[in-house]
Amino acid sequence: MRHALALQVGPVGLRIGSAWKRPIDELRALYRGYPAPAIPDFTVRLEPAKPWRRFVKPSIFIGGDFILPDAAPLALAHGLLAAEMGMNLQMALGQRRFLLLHAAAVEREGRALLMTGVSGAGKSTLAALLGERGWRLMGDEFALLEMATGLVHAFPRAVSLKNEAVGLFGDVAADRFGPLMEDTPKGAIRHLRPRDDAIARMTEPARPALLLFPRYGFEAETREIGQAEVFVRLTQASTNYVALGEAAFDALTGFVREIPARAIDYPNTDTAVAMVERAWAEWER
Amino acid sequence: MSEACLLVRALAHPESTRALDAVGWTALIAIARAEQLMGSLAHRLDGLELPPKVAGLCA
Repeated sequence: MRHALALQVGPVGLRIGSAWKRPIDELRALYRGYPAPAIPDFTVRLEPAKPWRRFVKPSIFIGGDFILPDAAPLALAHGLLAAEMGMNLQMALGQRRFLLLHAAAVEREGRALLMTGVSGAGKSTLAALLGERGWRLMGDEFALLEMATGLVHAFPRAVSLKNEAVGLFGDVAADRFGPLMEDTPKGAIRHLRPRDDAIARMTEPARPALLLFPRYGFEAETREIGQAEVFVRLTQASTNYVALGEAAFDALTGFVREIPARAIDYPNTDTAVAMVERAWAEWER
Repeated sequence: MSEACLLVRALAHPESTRALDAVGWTALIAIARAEQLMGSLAHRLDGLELPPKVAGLCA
């Protein structure tokens, strides 16, 4: 690894190595002020797909401790996306200390609100918006459920805003954004750095209070969801539920019994934020 | 010392890891994972006094 950077994100230490300088410089700027772990949990490697691809039409193969051998390489200009995917991959395939839920999480007064759903449901966008409006952003990708205690730990890496979501953050300081990456496999992407307080409090876990299943593109509606459906959807939203065996089953059934869940359909983000706040107020009563 | 030698030595003589610093541990864990020998390494290191982070990764 010619160029490298170590980053502490919540309870997880990551080391990112690269054959090129540019992705590491971009990461260093985006993640300035994040602590550096002495011994990282995982290593991500951004390497040329073939030796000559370091120079000729540079393309990044996402390597590291845990890899998907058939993943398509990315252009060097999309290095931040490659690093993000590499970090997600290590967590999804290698994390054993926490039950991983593919969910965005925000916190208020020590209690966490979790939002899960398929890609495009609006988890990242909603979490980032709430993070600018009085909530602490705990993460837009993974909520880390500590199986012994039921607490949720934060994983506040930079939020990856996609396509039209990029335009919703016009009032945020420009120095909190990464470069705009056009024409990635996921469309246009721009990373948003969490607020400084969310970074400073990254090691503080929170007790989960409410679980939402947001869905973008429908008339505004809130529905109750039965525990059985919540359980099945969460097993599908977890990448290491099966690997962790009985401990994960016990933790997840406990979670489903205790945490109320609602499905939220929304036509636009302002409605969604209002619906989330209303669901939270109902929970508090 | 090459990373392969580092792994071989840690597996053969687990107490040799006492001399490792953070950089050494990082290298050892990365090579053990790359060679799919992290479980074997954790087994060999079991019972030794380890840095907390390493103990967590071996658990």
